[in-house]
Amino acid sequence: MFENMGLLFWGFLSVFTFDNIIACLFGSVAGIFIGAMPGIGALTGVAVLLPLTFSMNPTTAIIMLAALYYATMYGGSISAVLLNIPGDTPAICTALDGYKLTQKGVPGKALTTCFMSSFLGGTIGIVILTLSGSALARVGLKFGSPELALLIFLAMTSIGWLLGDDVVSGLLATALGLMFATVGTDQAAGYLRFYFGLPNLMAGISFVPLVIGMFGFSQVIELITQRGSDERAKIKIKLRDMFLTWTEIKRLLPVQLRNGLMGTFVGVMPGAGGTSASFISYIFERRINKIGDKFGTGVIEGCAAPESANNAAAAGAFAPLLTFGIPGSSTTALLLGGLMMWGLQPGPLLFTEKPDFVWPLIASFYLGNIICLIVCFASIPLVMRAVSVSNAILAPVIFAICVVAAYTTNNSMFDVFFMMGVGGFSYFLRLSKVPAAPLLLAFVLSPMLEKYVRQSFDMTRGDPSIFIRNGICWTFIVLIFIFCISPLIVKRIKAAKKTS
Amino acid sequence: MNKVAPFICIPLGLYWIVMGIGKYGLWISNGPGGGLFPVVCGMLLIGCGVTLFIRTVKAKVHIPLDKRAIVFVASAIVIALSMYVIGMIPALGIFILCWLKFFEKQPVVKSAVLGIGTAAFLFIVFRLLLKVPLPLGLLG
Repeated sequence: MFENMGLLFWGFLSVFTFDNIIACLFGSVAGIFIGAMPGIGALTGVAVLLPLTFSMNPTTAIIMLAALYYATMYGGSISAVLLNIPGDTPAICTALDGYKLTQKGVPGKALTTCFMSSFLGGTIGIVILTLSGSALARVGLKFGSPELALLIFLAMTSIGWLLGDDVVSGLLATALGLMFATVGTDQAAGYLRFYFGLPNLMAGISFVPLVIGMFGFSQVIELITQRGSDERAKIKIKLRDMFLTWTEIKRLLPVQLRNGLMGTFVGVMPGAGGTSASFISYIFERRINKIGDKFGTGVIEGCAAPESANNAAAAGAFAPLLTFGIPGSSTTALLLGGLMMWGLQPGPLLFTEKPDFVWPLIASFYLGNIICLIVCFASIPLVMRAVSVSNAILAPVIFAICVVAAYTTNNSMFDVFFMMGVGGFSYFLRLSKVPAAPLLLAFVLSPMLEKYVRQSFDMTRGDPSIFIRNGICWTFIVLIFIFCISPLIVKRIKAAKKTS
Repeated sequence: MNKVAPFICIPLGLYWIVMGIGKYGLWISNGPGGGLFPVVCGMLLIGCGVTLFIRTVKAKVHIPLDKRAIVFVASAIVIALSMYVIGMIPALGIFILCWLKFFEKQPVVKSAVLGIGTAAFLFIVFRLLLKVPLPLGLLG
């Protein structure tokens, strides 16, 4: 550990060159901007900027792209809070409470919570990466298909806590998420399912147009129908409203710390990424927090949990990338390609053979995290002015952004029409009071669950005992059991208290 | 209109079950087939869709479809189709201008500034900075 600290100090000395600082600053500002633009996201941002870095020094190049990657996690919360359109998929859960806070007239408080949580979560992830990057990656590597299947099933059993008061509506949303997830290529067998002969659906439903349709376009339709009730336009926002009180900071701190830790661990696991981290943390926080039943109505804890988790996951995803050459998310998979193009081979030897690359990179995470926080706070007065725009003007402008953002995903008009179709259907779901969050959670998690379950059975030729093969499996099974029966026990206790 | 979503879910669920069992298979070669998850989601869709539909009918709460919503969605579809002819950015700019002027009764100058300004912003960000090949339409 002390050796790591010494190397980190040396990394700090190396990172403070003009080129590296400018690269970090540019990556951070671009990342916040790209993250705030709905539909672009970290993956597209890194993909677009990757060709620009080929002529750069590899360390400077990866510093810029890494800064862009975690800065998108900051930026994604801005449009989620102000417009109810998550800038990127990890900010979906942030929109659930963030936009409600904006409707309550405290968008500044929501944004401050998001930025502070992103900073703390990111810092936790970076510190853990510094101290135990390689050890964390080894823990993640112990997770085979059965362990991952049980972990995802554990998250799915917690959907009940996202369902709200009406279980039937929540289950309907979950089923719709499962249905959307089954469209496209069957990941286990490789054949096509439910694609209706459309080439655009062969690879499955794109997440970004789905999310933009569900949150953005349906929101626009609702804004259009709310003529004469433009309450949000009447909200007077004062700069002092963005400051959190000491009591609020004390309430948030444990939320940020535990979700930062959880996000780092989720980020380390291959294929999990910031989106899974934010969903899982939101669910678990809702379960364990004293005011968990108020999640979704506009509480700052609902913003803090996913934001600290997704930033921590962004940092955690670098652990398997750097130590074993295994990307923890789709964006780090792209960075892996970049590393190879720069002539670097990520793996256990990278730390020993290329310390002049690894440690300045890790040191730049600290620098980039501080830059992101400063840039975000500096932009608050500007972005808050956007909130006071009336619905009449906001609706067509948001529609235009939705259209371009949906198109950008695959450069396809199909996605634009799909986004509008999903938006229209989501509007009907809103009228039936069917919640959106379980649909998205099921859509994200069920393809992975299906793949890992089927892989597990393939490994043992149909023997289900693979799901109890070690202590990790048993831990998850016990937790699943507890999670399934605890709502019934809580209900019984509440009923008993009422009668007594 | 609050009955539409649960009603749509019922035939969808039925189709997913039929395809799941008939085409993809529930259990193949010592493991779950490609039809298992579709059948599970189909059963949930039918069960929850029917329950919610019956509950909505019994509650006798009728939410009429807002005319402004119909006009907006119809205009959005027309604009999306017009993108094949005049390109994405001009179509969106014209849509904002027309919507604000004719439906929201905003002053013409304000509508024009917002329409042109939004189009210019989208063009600079997506076309110039991010090099996204936005549709140019037949007019090029």
